[in-house]
Amino acid sequence: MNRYRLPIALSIALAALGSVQAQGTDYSELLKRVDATVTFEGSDLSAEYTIVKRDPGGATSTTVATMFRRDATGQFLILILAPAIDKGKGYLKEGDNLWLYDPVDRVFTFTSAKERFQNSSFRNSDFNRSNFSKDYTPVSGTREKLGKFECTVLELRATNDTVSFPRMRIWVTDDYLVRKIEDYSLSGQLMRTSAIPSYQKVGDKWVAAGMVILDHLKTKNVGGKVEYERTTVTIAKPSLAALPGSVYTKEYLEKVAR
Amino acid sequence: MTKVGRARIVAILVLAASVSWAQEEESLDDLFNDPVDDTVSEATPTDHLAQFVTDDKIRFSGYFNAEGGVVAGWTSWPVVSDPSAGFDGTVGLTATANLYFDARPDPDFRFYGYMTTSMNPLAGAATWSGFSIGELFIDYTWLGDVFIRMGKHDMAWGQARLFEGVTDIMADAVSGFSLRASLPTLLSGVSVIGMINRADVTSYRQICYAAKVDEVLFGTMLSLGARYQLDEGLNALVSVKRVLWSVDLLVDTVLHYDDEAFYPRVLAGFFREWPDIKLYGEYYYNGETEGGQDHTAGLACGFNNIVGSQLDLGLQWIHAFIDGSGSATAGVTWKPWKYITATVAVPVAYGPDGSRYVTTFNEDVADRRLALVFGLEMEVSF
Repeated sequence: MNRYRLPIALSIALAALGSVQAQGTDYSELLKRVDATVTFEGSDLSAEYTIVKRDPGGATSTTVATMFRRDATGQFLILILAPAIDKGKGYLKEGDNLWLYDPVDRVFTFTSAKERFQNSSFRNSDFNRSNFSKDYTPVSGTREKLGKFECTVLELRATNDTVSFPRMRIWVTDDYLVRKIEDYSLSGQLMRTSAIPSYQKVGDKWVAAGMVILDHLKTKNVGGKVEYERTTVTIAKPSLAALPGSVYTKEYLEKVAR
Repeated sequence: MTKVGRARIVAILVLAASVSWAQEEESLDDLFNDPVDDTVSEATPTDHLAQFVTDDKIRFSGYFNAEGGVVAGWTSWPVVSDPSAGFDGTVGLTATANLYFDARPDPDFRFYGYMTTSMNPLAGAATWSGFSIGELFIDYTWLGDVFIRMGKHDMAWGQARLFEGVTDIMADAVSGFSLRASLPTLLSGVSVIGMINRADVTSYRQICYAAKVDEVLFGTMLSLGARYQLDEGLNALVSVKRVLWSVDLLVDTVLHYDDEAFYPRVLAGFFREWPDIKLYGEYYYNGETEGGQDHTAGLACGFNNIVGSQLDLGLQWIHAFIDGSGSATAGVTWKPWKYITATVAVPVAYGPDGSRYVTTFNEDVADRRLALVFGLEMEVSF
């Protein structure tokens, strides 16, 4: 028996070493594939977002917005359609910069892109193109079953401080679609969990059909159960119709806001 | 107890704890057990832009606001020996109605305006004033890249929240006639403006000219603006804003120059927002005041849904260093019914008699030092 131990141990060690190396490479490559699957480099993307926020305890509020996005230049423009009190408000992102427009006061406000969108758990940065491969580096990966999905679970660390969360865990199915995200603070506290159970294909790329987000920082004990602020996002009527470049400007936002 | 017995108890406790934990935590994992299948979107692309740039009919909308309330308090500090000394009460009622219209017959053309009327029955006749034009302008997109807005329209420069308008060198635009041409794709936006803001303008020399350039450099927003009119002189604005650790930091500097004077106005401030709290503070220096010692500072904080209730709390404090006067206000608002907001506030004005926040800038019609305000406001947009 002893004469087999060394070769077996060596082969296990070599396999493990090979696996780590392969996984290290594969995970970075996997992130690139994830980005490529949901990024529209060759066209504009527009869609209607319905965002329903349910406070811990039950009160709900709904925001409807139209989004126009140009991934090739990192721009987006968002116009609020509802509720009536916010109708005409707009968001314009150029690179890392975000402008908010208030049509009542005719004022543009320059602000951080990381903030919460309309005070929901959905963040302004969530409208951005997917950029996992540049903003994060994978530090480990495992295989895990998530409901009916077989997933690769990647633990990610941010490569820069412009992202909303310095640490993340993402569940990626074998078709390179992210199904679940856990966002963590630098100290490891779970900040937010997002689920994307289903996608819709537009052209040869994919867009989430719906998302559910739990904000772990906004909690309430309801009947002995800890409830989090829950935000449900529905993305409808995705379109690749070409848009003029002037759409992604402050003047355009000012012009179209009602 | 045997080892097996202890192990069973430990296992039961661990299991119970894990079950208890599972019951407490809301989880999203159930969503993946039987999710809706991924789909392929319809082939016909939706023109989302069309709903904003064209409309086959003129859209009308309106706004109505009515405010009423009671203010009671002391025009001088109350004294225990004679609480009625300086005590005064006022009733107020005002109403405003606006009618808006917006026509977008073509993606490159828009016609927009609104008419406004108001009534103050306790300060005059109980009749509505005649309708006046609030704004009336056209938007025209020239050659796809030049945005032109022409007519009577508002614009806002500067960044002040608390000392609103002090660095907005175009604050009077809405009362004039302006032609603004903007090149949005040049830097972060370039605008040139010609404005007629006085009567009997017969020469181009009497027109007010202005220009503004916005650019973002290394995450910092820079805005340079200038306004010149022959009789007014030159006003130059430099605005800087940066977001650091989720705090908006801003500085506006206005330099005024004419044949008789040269002075700066400086506003510096911060703004921080949490889900249910807003906090902002500002410092304002007005070099126009003789002596060059006109410094004012302010702090404001708003709390939504205090202690889980439907009440919102607002606190504001402003202090003028030049004469030691100031105002402090605490107010609570809530919305008991649809369209209705109720307010209870306690404003306090301190400082020497006749000083800035006791008299000049005192928002109370009777210049009370200490008051209790109760107001009801109906506000409807339709």
